[in-house]
Amino acid sequence: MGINNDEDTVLVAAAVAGSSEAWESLVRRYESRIYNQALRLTGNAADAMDLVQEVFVGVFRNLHRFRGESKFSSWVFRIVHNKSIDMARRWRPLREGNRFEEQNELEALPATSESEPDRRFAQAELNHSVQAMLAMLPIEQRIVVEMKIFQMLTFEEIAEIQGISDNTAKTRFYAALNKLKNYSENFNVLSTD
Amino acid sequence: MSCPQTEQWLTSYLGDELDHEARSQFEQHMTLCDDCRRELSTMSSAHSALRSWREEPLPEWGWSRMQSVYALQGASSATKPATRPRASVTWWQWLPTAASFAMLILLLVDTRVIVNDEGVTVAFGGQAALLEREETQQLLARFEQRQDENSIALMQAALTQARESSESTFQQLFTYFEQQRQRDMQDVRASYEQLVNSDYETVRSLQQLANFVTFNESGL
Repeated sequence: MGINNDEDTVLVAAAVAGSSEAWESLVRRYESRIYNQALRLTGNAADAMDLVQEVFVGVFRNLHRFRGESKFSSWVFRIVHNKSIDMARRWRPLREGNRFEEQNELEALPATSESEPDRRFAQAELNHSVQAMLAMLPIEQRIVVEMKIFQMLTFEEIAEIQGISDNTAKTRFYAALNKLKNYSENFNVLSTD
Repeated sequence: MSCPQTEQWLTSYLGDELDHEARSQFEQHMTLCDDCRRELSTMSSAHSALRSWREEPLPEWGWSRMQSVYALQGASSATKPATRPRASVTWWQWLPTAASFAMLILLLVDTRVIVNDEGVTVAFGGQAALLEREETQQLLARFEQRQDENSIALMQAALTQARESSESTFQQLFTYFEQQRQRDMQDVRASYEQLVNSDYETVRSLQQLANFVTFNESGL
């Protein structure tokens, strides 16, 4: 994803030492990536923004605990993982299943000055379909898919971050794809229209 | 699906964790195994669908608020490089704790606030308790006396009212009995006169009957 770990290490050390510029740089480097992760994990923009804020508050409060033994990106994703599970558990009593909602595609589009509204709308539709697919998965499988397909981590790294065995990570990944394979046939029909 | 290797192969392949040699073995297996080939086809489409995600730009999310929090922490930690960033704690967040502590101290030293005619007195410890106890006793005695007086007055008023009420009731009863007696006397008198009149009529009828019998006998 184009993030240099050495630069991360330097920025974290400076931020821990009290440099607000270093902290801002860290936030700017990760905010968009975390937002997109959050969109996929939560399924809607409002909850994704809540998750982004919770993650950065968590990073901010625990930055001094980062020892550099793992990649900063993996450490941040561990926080994303924990916060998203917390969020999913908070929703469960309120609504069985998930909070992936039908949302207005135009409202979901970010306000930018790009001149290709049709392309952006089509892309937003595709993203929404991906969110709908992920919504069919339990949060544990969703996180493994997120880590494997979007963060491109190895099963070993996924297992370490989640505190599970390699085989459990593989089983969750396979079970997720197995569940999504029927849905994706409809998805392909829609996307070629 | 009946091939026992399908899950293992597809997980590694779709998870992009096959090295060159393993990939060759996988491709060879695919040429021979219909189950795995069919499963790969459907799962690949799900995999591709998920990978169609395109990064969305981040909306404004209140970064400035977090920045100010960090600046607050950073200002104090800048002079001490080893200082760890911590959550902001402002003075007012200590207010409930301070208030609880102050109340505990006041309780421990037996603080008393006495309000009377002479003003407000704040006292600490047992002396205040003694003073307050004497005043309380006096107040209780005054209150008891006032209650007794009120009770006596109330009882006297009740007795007076009961006596007046009884006199009036007896008077009415006596009047009723007298009226009833007069009415009974009149009824007795009327009945007696009626009886006398009835007897007179009877005697006269007998007299007529005797006269008639006498007349008949003389006619014979």
